[in-house]
Amino acid sequence: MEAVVKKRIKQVIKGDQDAFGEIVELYKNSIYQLCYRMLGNRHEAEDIAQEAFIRAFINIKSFNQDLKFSTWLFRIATNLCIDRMRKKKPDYYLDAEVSGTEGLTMYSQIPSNSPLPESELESLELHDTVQKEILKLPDKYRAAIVLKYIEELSLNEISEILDLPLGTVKTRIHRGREALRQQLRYV
Amino acid sequence: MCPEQIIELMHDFLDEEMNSQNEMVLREHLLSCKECEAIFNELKKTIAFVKSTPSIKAPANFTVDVMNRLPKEKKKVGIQR
Repeated sequence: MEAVVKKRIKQVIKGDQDAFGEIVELYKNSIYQLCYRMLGNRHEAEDIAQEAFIRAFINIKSFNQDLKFSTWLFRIATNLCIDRMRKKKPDYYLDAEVSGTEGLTMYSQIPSNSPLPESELESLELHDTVQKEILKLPDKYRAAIVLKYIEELSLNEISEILDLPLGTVKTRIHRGREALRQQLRYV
Repeated sequence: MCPEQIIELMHDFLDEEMNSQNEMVLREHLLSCKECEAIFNELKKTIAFVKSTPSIKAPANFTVDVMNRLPKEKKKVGIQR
């Protein structure tokens, strides 16, 4: 895939804008998903994911073609998400969501040793709960957790995307995991 | 209260960066300590939950929208001159 992407990048640099469309097609789902898990809102996720591709297009000449394109693209998108999170009113969306009563209360009534419910509605509620807890993580832990467990990237790749030493990435994942454990232990 | 080192070992295990000697230390401790065993199971459950979130697809019009928002450099230059 990287070889195809590199070819398309060369075409884009030569002025073939349509070649960029193929790049967008290849990465749109993973970038949109990253933004959605980071921001928790489909409209914002779409806006920021589009912005990430537009920035990549504008700056494509500065992309070092010896590197992996997806790492560069993920870095642009992650930074945009973190910027957006910092500009938001703190906890605005969290407050809006906490007012709903679904999910948590139902699960907390199920004894912990019973098997996990399997109906679709219930698993939707579980996913809602997990998403809400991810959104409560401070931005630096959230980015590391989403890249690791939603995008399933390696620690080395995450360290390149976040531009942080490997040890720092590990610490953030450890703390993020621990925070989520405390929130999800009774689910 | 168990040593902080045990928690560190759990995280090393979850990062898949654990040598066999440390794995022995962790396993032996978990056999004898219900509290740490519970924490370890909760950590594993947490990861399973996060991984189980359904993958999400970009909206259908995504690529078209991006392409429409790209700066049309050549045209602009033409008009300005």
